[in-house]
Amino acid sequence: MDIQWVIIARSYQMINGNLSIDNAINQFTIYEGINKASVYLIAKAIFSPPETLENRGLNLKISHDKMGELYTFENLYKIPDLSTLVNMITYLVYPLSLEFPHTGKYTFIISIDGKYKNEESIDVIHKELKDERI
Amino acid sequence: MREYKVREISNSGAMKVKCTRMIDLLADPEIPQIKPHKLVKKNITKDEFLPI
Repeated sequence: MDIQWVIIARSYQMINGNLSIDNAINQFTIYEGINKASVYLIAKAIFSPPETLENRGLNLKISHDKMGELYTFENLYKIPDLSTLVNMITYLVYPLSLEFPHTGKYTFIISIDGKYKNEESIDVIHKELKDERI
Repeated sequence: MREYKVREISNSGAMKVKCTRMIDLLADPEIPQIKPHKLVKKNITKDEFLPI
């Protein structure tokens, strides 16, 4: 099992097995008193046939470039069988409600059975800082 | 669509995060089940109720 890519998006749609990501984000701007975001972390998972029905320890870790590791979510994931998998891929979605106390780079890391697989990050900046960067 | 509950194992207190589940979008897809006896047809004429 591998994670081909990770995307953080505001919304997504799944229509007839086709995934449509409407609004991917990699930057979030905080204002005075407004530092919350509801997003979906979407990961494309790919498998090999011998792995079907095996259990995997799926781990999502959130870390900050200065504060280090902040959160870890883990769950046991049972790989579906061949009849339910579509082309040996699937999309795993974490609905996340985030509240950022600081600016900086927040990285979302996915590992499987303790092995790093892929990551995506969000730059959280303050409104004034955003103007300077542009 | 299969859902897995997510277990949080650490919290630094430096950031608030809520994530209670993980969703597998393609495994066990919800295939729309069309049940003919539940189809509603408007403006049905009396003849259509007659047995064949």
